[in-house]
Amino acid sequence: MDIGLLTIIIFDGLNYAAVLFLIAVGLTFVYGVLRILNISHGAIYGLGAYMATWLTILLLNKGLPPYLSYFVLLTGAIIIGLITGPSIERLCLRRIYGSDIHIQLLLTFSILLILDDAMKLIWGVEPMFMSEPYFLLGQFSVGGIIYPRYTFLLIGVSASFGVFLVWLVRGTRFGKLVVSVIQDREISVAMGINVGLIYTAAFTMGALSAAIGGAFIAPTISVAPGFAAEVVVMSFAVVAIGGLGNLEGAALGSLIVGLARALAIHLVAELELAVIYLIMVLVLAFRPQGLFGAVEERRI
Amino acid sequence: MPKINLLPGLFLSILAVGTWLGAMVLPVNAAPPGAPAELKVAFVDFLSGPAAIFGTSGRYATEWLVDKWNKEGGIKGVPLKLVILDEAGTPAKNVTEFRRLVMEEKVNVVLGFTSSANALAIAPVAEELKTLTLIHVAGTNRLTEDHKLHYTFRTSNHQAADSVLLARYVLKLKPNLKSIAGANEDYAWGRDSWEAFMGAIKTLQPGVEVKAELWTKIQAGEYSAEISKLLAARADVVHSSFWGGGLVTFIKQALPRGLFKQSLVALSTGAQVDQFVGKDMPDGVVLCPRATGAYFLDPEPEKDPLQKEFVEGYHKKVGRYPDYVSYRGYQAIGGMKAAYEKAIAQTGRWPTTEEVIKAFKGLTWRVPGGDIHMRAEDHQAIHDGLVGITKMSKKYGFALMEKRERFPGEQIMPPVGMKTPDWVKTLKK
Amino acid sequence: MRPNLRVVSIVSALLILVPLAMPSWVVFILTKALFTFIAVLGVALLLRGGQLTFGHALFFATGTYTVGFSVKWFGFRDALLLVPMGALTGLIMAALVGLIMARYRGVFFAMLNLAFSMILYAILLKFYWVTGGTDGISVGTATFLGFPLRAGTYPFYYLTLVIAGLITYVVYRFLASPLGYFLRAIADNEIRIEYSGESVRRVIYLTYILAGGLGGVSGVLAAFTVGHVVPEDAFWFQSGQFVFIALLGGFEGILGSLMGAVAFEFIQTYSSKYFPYAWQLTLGGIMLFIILFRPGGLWAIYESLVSRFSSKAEGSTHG
Repeated sequence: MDIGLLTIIIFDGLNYAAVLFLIAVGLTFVYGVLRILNISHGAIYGLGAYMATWLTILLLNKGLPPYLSYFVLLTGAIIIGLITGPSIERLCLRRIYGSDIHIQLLLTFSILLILDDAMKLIWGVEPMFMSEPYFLLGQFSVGGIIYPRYTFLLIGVSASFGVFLVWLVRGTRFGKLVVSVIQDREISVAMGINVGLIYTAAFTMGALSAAIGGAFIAPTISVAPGFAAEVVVMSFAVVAIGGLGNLEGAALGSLIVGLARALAIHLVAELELAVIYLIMVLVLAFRPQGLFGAVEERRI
Repeated sequence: MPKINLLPGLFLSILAVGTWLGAMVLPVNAAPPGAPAELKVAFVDFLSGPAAIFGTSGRYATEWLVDKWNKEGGIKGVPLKLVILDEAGTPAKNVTEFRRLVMEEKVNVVLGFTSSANALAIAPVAEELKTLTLIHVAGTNRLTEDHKLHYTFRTSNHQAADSVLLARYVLKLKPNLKSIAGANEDYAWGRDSWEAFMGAIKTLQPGVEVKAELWTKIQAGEYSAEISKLLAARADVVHSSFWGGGLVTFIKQALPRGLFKQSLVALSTGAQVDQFVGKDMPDGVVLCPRATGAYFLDPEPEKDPLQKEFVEGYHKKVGRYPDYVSYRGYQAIGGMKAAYEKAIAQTGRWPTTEEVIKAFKGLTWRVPGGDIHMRAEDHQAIHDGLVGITKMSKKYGFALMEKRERFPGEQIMPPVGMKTPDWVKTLKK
Repeated sequence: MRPNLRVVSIVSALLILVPLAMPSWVVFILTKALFTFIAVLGVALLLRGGQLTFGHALFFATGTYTVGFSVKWFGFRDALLLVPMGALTGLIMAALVGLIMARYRGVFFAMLNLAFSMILYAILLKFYWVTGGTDGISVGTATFLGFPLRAGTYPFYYLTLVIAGLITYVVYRFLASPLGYFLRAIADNEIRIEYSGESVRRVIYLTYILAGGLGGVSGVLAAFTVGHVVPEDAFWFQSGQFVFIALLGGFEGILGSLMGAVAFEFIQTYSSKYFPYAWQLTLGGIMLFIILFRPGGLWAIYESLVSRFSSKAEGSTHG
């Protein structure tokens, strides 16, 4: 394989990994704190994309300077995160902590179904296009292949959100509270920690990750019903590969999946999708706690 | 007081009222014997998801025509009733919905199906359920070449026409063509389109090298790695049969990365999206409205009354100009109406499905832009096809298809009984 | 678990007689409900053992593509042979995958199942020249000993009903066997089972194989009913729907799965007809209600009604 092709594969892989990480890091964070695999995560990703697109088109038509559109994207994502996060956690999830896993998964699956149609009812079923933020930054060349600078922005947003989350968990008082809740819920309650609030905050952080992912991918795609279905299940693969509930694991998982997919597209296109789930099976079969995950005790 | 004779007055009044009542009750177009209260026609196309920008064009055209005809008395006095259905979903879902249309809604005719995968899945079921089914857009040549169809007709050219048109036009622009690459969707339509385009190029210009063949999921919406691969391939010509929202996204993702500067890009459905891509569309892209014989500027509306009426009426209803999907919607329901009218004329009463089918074979009907001819042998229509190249228009705010060339149907469609992959090998410069 | 003969005969009578008064479209939906019921039974079995699978579509698609390839390669579409073939391919697939699967529990079991089904999906989707990719494979009309068997007709419906009846009996026998009792005990306490000398892995493995076989049979019938097979048969959304139906009906009784499947097919068909862009919302809303307020599903609602009724009538509680 020549150096040129290798550079292209690495760049394509990074681009892809950036998006996957943004979605997966929230999924894994929520699992880490709440012990719930949130299937509706994908719908929040979709909502983020819709809201950001709709808001940006609206404001651009009102004469907003195009350079401000990046803030509009972020604002749209934050609005969605702050609406969906607390409401899903308080209204639905709160009632099923400690229930069987099938109840938890099915509840979030039902929320996915509901939000999926809510998007259609709010924004219609025809696709929306909004590419100004994507075009605006210009392009650069790697190994003779032109990439849009927007790729950098995506990687940047993704990496900063990851760093932010790690800082939040490791470097702040909030993080210490989160860790203590994860370690022992009862003791935390006894110590006077408002566990409910921690759960709401953690779930909202997860929702924000999905919404930001959706908002920043939106300018590069056509936003239309059903566009999230495959990304979501891929982010499941990322989380499983990295280790459920592990932030660094999500980073490693997205890099592996992104690079594997880029490698497959350039070399054996038929395996583009299968390779992701093959890796997932291999990791789960030989290291079920994921590459980064710690071994859990068997509960009796 | 003189006695007034009331009888003549009464007689005259009854006559007048009777005539008036009679005129009210009997329609101008007396319906033929055995006519139903209405003809129930299902229209199926993509109405949600990325492909909705495509399907709605067919829907609006069909609705516009049905409204117009119903005001004029429908088909010989029988009004048409449309049942609109969304095609988005898998072929399996569409097969089930087709069964529902026939078994539950009891529609008389089903029109539509844009996806070749869906058309290939529907045809056997249409035959099983004995329902007249007109495929208006789906392009795979295999529909009419590999299946013995009785109840199913395709009312427009199949993809061989687009592929051959594009190949001939591209070779005219680039006589020294050395290499090609293709990005197509990984299903019947994309696979067959690329095979025919590549085959035609290889026949017309021996020695052309194929640098890359890419297959994406239908309406994927994310093409960054594929575009990298196309850029790395550095082919003279890039062919793509992407369509609908997927094509819009592909153009928007490829544009800032210089694909349109590096290669001559040929898009077999390109003329359909230029109103959606708007001012971003680069000049010099080869476009084909899927080898349809009409474009909203060709024939000029002032010279063709049908075209004028349709373009103006459609623009008033929809707010955009008819694209090839609209024209193909016109072709389908126009063919259906013509076949029913011919069958009524032949039988002198309301025809059975079998009689409509008999009338449809060999039928020629008029649409904006020319005649459509339905071949009796394989139920495949043939008609003229257009091809051109983009040029931004300040007046319209989107790129127009300029330097248009018109090819007659016989030159771009394989003859009856010959399969497309074999036929493209026989092409001559 | 004792079969309530009265309930069994009432349900059987309804399933045999009601379609005779129905138009072909309703017969078609009932046929769909029956094959869905068969796949959901497998999911419900695993749920009884406390195991949630988010990849049961793996076996369903194994069944649909058993028919698909049989038609594509051999032009063979006789239900008499293909239904057992589907059971066999489902069983074999489950026997292979189950070797790994039986070691896992909880979220890992769910995820690993998801991964395996998505591998099959990816292969069906991407190997166009073998599988037909997105196009899927058109199956055409099934035959039975050479006679055509059209979807939506009585012969097809009653064949499906007979198969569903046989399978219900097999599952009932399984649940009534010691293995079935161990299975339910797993959900409560795995360690105790190991103390009793039975291997938990063996119980889960055998249940998994049975569930896989049911998925295969369901897939074969689905292929013939719909007339077309597609990669989405293996997609995670299909798996999600099976779990959805299992919980909609409630997995404590076999009848629950049947009620869930019938309710699901009718709700889906008619809500997608009248609200094409809100049918998922309808289903999701119903599910949300059930989870939050009636976690036992339709079965529990039915049981509480019965017990209220019978306690009034006989003054005894329903066991």
